Amino acid sequence: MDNEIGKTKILDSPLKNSSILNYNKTIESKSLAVPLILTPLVDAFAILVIYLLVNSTATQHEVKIDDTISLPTASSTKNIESGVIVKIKNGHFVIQEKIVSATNLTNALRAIMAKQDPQKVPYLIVEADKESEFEKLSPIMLASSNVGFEKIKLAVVQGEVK
Amino acid sequence: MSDKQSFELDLMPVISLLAVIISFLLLTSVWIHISSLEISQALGTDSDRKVEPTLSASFEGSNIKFEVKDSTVISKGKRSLSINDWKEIESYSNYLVKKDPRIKIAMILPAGASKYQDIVRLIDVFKARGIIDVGIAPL
Repeated sequence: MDNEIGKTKILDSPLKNSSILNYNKTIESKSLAVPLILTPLVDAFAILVIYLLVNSTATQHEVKIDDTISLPTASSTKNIESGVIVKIKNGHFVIQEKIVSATNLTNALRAIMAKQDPQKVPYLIVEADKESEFEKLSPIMLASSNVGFEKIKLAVVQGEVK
Repeated sequence: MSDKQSFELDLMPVISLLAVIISFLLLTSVWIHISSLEISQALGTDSDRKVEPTLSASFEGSNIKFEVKDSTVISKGKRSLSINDWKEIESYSNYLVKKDPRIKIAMILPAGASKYQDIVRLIDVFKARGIIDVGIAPL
């Protein structure tokens, strides 16, 4: 008897109808899970993927640049094309991955030039650290003029100089 | 009686795939854009060349001395100037190009101790103002 009274009291509680917990399944069942709209998320992801894909293909260079050299910055630049690369690495001149002395620079460039088509003189690409002094770069300018490289391209990082 | 068939596309694998692609692309993308500044080196004298105004810039210690040759438009007092501030260099270059737009050739004469970044910056200043034929004189 006590149990029945107690049961009735619980079931007839004024909070019974406002509760989301359904005791006797008379009220229509409601799901607690809110459906997440994933379509905008997929759209945003797709746009990001397209942007990154385009960006990664556009920034591929024809010339392999040495990561260890800290290049200077410039804004009025052109795309880097293939050519003969002369690097100044740890104070040494490097042409086609071979260390060349300052005195042999002209001969080394002349040997490369001899293999080229005379109608298509390649560019000479200079890769040097931004902190280098011109004393180190001058032999390249001199050798290039002696050999006949009219156009020299200085490899730079594109950006505004601060 | 209509027989409605409703189905939902499971987007979770698509999102997972896209997230993996984004992570991969972010890690492999090149964010530093390498390009070049072109300079023209003199290979010999050209006797047939027309007389054109030329600008020379020589590094003298911390200063850069500018000199304009073969220009009748720029006043004598402004043809030669020694500057050590980049803002002033830019405004002086602006003045020269505005006053005599025929200036298309510049020769840079660096000192042995001149920093490569400064030389590149000067070439950049000239190129940005339309002085396209810039050369560097060896020591």
